[in-house]
Amino acid sequence: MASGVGESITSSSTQFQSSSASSSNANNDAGSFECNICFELAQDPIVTLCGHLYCWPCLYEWLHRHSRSQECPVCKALIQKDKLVPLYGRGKTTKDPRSNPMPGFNIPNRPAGQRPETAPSRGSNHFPHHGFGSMAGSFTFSAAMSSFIPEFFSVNGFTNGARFGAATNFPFGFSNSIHGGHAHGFVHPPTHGQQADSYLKMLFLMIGVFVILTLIWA
Amino acid sequence: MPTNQGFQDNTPAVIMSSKQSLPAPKSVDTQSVLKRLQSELMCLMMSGDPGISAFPEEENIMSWKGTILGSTETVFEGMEYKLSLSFPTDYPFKPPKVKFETACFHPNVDAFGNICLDILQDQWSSAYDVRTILLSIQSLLGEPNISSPLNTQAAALWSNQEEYRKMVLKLFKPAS
Repeated sequence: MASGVGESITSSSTQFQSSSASSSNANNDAGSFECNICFELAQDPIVTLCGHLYCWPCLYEWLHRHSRSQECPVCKALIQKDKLVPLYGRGKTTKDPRSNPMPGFNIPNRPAGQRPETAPSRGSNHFPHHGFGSMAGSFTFSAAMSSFIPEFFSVNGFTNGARFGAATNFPFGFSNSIHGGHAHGFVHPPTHGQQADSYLKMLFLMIGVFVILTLIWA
Repeated sequence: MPTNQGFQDNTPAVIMSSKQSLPAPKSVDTQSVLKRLQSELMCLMMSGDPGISAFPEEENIMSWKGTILGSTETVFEGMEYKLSLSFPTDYPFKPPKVKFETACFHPNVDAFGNICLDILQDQWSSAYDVRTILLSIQSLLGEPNISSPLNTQAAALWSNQEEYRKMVLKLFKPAS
């Protein structure tokens, strides 16, 4: 018995010294990150929608064993469990002994963060859907045409490309958009100006193709 | 800094005796209560709020003595009231029991020093601490809730502030 008391004395006094050292620092540095219930640096930190920070075990215990209505201890705002936001810092996750402050009283895992969809990649952002569609449409169309009349088409495509491309300071844009359009379009997403260019080129190509077709069938 | 040094020297002894006198609560639980009370004590000493103070009793960190000065421009101006705060083992999830040790002639304080204050009962929140409790009681002194009095005589007299002040001075007995 006596030794048991002695042990608890030493452990609590060392604990006190460490905690007094840390809390005097914490007053300056980490005060904003202290749990509003245990007044220590928050373990398993969780933030309510009203912005108040707690240890998850502390908040859980408050909500489930003591609070009459589910309210924030600081501002008494209603707390909805699915609106709680966990904070994931970079530091290693150490198991906190206080995570189960009441023996025999199980505290479930901290609610997970709600993760919105992954942000869309930059390339598809700059490539509006209709632009891509029309491009793909004309690509398949021209591909189909080229399967009918491969020689004429490729010659026409090349010469047109050289002509219009030079006019717009974009020498290979035209032939790219036709023959390698898919892959290049994604890697180097065109700006709005370039897109307008490619629409123009597409128009000229169509006209060219029809002219050639009428020449052939005429 | 000298106060801080004194505090550091002093408190382990307080913890020591509290360990012995506690009715064998769960050790993990008690640890977190002790930590919280220690950080409150530290905070109180650092903040230096005028008109309120508190410190653990010699024997037990779970039991504190506090003092409140009556606010200026109230009938309690210049009076110093002593209070006792007794913390449950599930503090801060449950409020401490707070009583006036000095007799206090107040509509919401009864003859035994019991205080009728919502935040010490059903409106308690674990975000409150000794400092906010003492500040709340200090402001309760000047702004009593007349509609639900514990001391009906005081409630009846409240409207006459001059007479009330005389009564306060007459009934005030500094704690021995």
